[in-house]
Order: sequence, then C-alpha cells, then structure tokens
Amino acid sequence: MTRVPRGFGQNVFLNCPFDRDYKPLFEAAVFTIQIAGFKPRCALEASNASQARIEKIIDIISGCRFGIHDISRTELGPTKLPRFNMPFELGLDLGCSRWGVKHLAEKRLLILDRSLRRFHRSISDLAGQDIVHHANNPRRLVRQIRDWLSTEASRSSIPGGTYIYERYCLFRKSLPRLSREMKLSHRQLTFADYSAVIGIWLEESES
Amino acid sequence: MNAGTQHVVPHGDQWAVKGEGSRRLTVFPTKREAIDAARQIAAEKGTNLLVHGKMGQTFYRSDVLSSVDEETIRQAVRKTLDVIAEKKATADQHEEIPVAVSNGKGRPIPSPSPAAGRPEAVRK
Repeated sequence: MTRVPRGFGQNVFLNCPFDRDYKPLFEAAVFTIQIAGFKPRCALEASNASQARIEKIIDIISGCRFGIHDISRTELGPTKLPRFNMPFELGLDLGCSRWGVKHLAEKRLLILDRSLRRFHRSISDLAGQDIVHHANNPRRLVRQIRDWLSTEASRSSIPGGTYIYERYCLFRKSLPRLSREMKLSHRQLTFADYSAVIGIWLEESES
Repeated sequence: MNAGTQHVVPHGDQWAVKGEGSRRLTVFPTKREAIDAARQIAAEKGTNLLVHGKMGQTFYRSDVLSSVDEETIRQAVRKTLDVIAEKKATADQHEEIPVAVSNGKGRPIPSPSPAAGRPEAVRK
C-alpha cells in the first residue's frame, strides 16, 4: 500500500516561470500560499544534485495535493521554441491525479493565465477546465489563489484577499531592510531563504 | 499536530502559550514574549513551535533548509518591525487633527500647530 507522503494535504506545487519578469507574481504567490497555511513547493527547491530535474518534479507533484499552474508565459523564448515546461508539468499533474494511487485522486489543480480564453487557441485539450486569469496583476493573483485554496481546502480561517495583499505589500516594503540585517541582497534571496523569511515575518508581525 | 507542540495563541488583547493537549495557558502581554517563552519550552522538550495569527489561523512555517539560521532571521525581522512601528508612531503623531475649543465667548481658540510638542527624534 502506498503511503501518503508527509504533508501531502498541506503542500502546493507552484508551476510557473522563474524569470525576472514573472518574479513579482511568483513572490506574491509564495507569500499567499504561506499566509494561508500551506507549503509552497517548486522546482527551485534544493535537492539531490544527482537527481534528474524531471524526477525531482515528479517527486514534488506526487507529494502535493494542490497544484497551481500558470501557463501565461508559453511564448517563444531565446531559442525560438515555445516554453514547454509549464504546460508539460501541468500535464504531469493532471496525469498524476487521474492515474495515480488512491490519495492522488484528491488532487486539486488551479490553472492560471494572463487573460481569459487566450489558451483556447493553443491548448484546446483544456476546454472545459476552469481557468482563471490574473492580468499580470499581483493583487489579482493573490485573490485568485486565496479564493481557490479557501474553497478547495474547505478552510474558513484563511484571511481575505485584500487583507493578504496588504500584508504582502507591507512585507515587500520591509524586505530590503530585513535582507540588509541578514547581510543578504533582497534581489538575490533563494527560494528557501525567501520562504523562511516569510514564515518568521508572519509569526512575528501578526500581533 | 504533534504531541508537545507549543502553540502561541491570541488571548484577548494578549497572547498565550499552550502545550498541545494541555489545558494550561501561560499569558504574556506581547506576542514577542509569548514566542520567546514558547521557543524556550519547545527547545527544552525537543518539540515544535506553532505560532497562530490574530484570528487563530496557522501559517506555514518553513522547514526547508535556508542559508540563514532561524535566530538571525528572527532578530532581523524584529528589528525591521520595530523600525516600522516607530515610523508609524511618529507619522500618527503628525497626523493628529487639532480640535478647536471654545474660549467661552462663542469663539474657537486657535489650535496649536502640529509642530508643537513634537518629540525629539531618538538617536541610536
């Protein structure tokens, strides 16, 4: 019998670009997931260096009950090829929930795009799936993620989207000073550092 | 939740530390004091710490290995929050709306200027 991975019900797989342009959305998403009481997981996690990236992704996906997939950045990259990673990992997550062992059937996925109906032209297989759009706006993204987690996880204790965004803005404002205190650059925090700082900031600041 | 986990929970206008499964609450005037007490107990007993929000909700507490130790992060956060609180307190004082008071003859007494009574900046 396959054991349910530790923290499965609390883990959220975040599938999105990690480039500089997307960073404001990524950082807002991580903050929202944590303030809601969930653990954000993504390919930026440190792991066994000998593990192939695809194996790391599969491990993370199968360890997360929730998956947030942003397919808003699939345009041609510097190599003149589309950015396949996000739709590919969305496919892995969909397959996992459909064909995986029992607890994986509880998986819940949120698909994000930057505008409504844009995906219809390129991924028609997703017709009928609920897709929400964030218009590249962190405030909107925060609300979308918050509302989805509150519904899918049936948690009534998650603060409202406006409150979360205000807390995020305060956190962002304090991050440069905070990073200087730790002798780090706020622009170069690793995912692990960023997540750790958010956790302790939330503990200390809600008083 | 793990047995022995120390919870920091809201308690009216104050904060309290409560061990998992225990009815006993130890109350502190500030959240910071409650967190410090809970951390000490958790360290002594080898258990976990879970800090709740004002609505009793829990946040995710990172267990991913960071390049900075928890104590350093916590002290940096506290220093930063203290600076923010100090700036806010100073800004709030400057925003006080002066209230005109009648001089008994039906005419309002001019209110003091906002600059009057401004506390000296604390040099550190």
